[in-house]
Order: sequence, then structure tokens, then C-alpha cells
Amino acid sequence: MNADVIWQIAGLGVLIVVVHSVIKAAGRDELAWMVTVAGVVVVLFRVVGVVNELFQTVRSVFQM
Amino acid sequence: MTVLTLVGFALAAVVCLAVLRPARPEVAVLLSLAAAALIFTALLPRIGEIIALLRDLAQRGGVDSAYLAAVLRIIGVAYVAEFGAQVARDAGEGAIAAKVELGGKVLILALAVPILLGILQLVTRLLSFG
Repeated sequence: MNADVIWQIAGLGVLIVVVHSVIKAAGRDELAWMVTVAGVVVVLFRVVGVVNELFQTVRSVFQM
Repeated sequence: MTVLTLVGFALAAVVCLAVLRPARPEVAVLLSLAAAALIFTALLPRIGEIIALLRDLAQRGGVDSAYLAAVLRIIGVAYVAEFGAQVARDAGEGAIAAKVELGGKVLILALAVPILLGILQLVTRLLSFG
């Protein structure tokens, strides 16, 4: 169990917050929204890998 | 994995979540999902050791391996359903969490049917002897 994924996601989250507020301050609200969605999708892909690994392990341990 | 690793990991995740939750709740949900999945994945080898012990005991006791496989599958369904329901509840979707729990219960009941049938057959055989 390594915490790398946690730091990655937290860092990406902070990055999204910063970029979102900068673009929003520049008055491009729709662009800020799209940046947020893109960031969430990137994080989602990272998390899907983790969850997939979990399900594979569950399947092998419980022989489902 | 020791308890210190587990608690340290959980605390790191909690601190990141506390920072992220007010600003970006959607990223916080993904972060808590990732943390939960990682902890669960790290715990599974230990569960595997316990299951190996159970299998050994069942073999020595002469229990039908089909029953043990059904019980293990039921435990797996329960763990995974609980995991999904908690993530959904954490994201504020209590209704979806309740549905996941309902689905888990139904699937467990369906998996338990062969065991129930086995008990029923045993009872009828005992009754016919008497």
C-alpha cells in the first residue's frame, strides 16, 4: 500500500482549484468549468485503475 | 501491512480530504474512493490467509467444499457491496447506497439458496428415517 496515488490525486485536486480560480478571475467562466471537468476525468482514470486492481484481487481471493 | 501503516495512510488521506472537500467535492469523492480501494486491496492478502485456514479446517472436518465456496462467495459479495455503499453514502448519495445494499442482500440470498436446499434435503431425510 503506497500513498503515491493519494498524493497524486490531492496534488491534481489543488492544481484544478488553482487553475479554476485563475481562469475564473480572468472572466472566462465556461473555460474554467471545462478545465474542472477535464481534471476530474484525469483523476477518474487514475482511480479506475486502483478500483480495477481491487476488484481483481477480490475476485482471486474469494474465487468469485 | 501493519496497523501503523494503515493508520498513517488513513491519516494522510484524511488530511488531503479535509483540504480538498470544501474546494472541490467531486475530486474529494474520487480521493476517498481511491484511499478506500487501496486500504481494501492491502487488507485482502490477510483475508486470504484467514480463508486458507478456514479451507484447511473444512477439509479436515470433511465439509463439502461446495458449501465453503458458497460461503466465501457470500462474504466477498458482502464486502464489495458494503464498500460500494459506503463510497456512495460518502458522496452524499444515500439513495444509491441503499440500493447497493439492497442489491447485495438479494445477491447473497440467491447465493445462499443451494445451502438452504441442502439443509432442507437433510431435514427431509432425517424425517423419513424417523
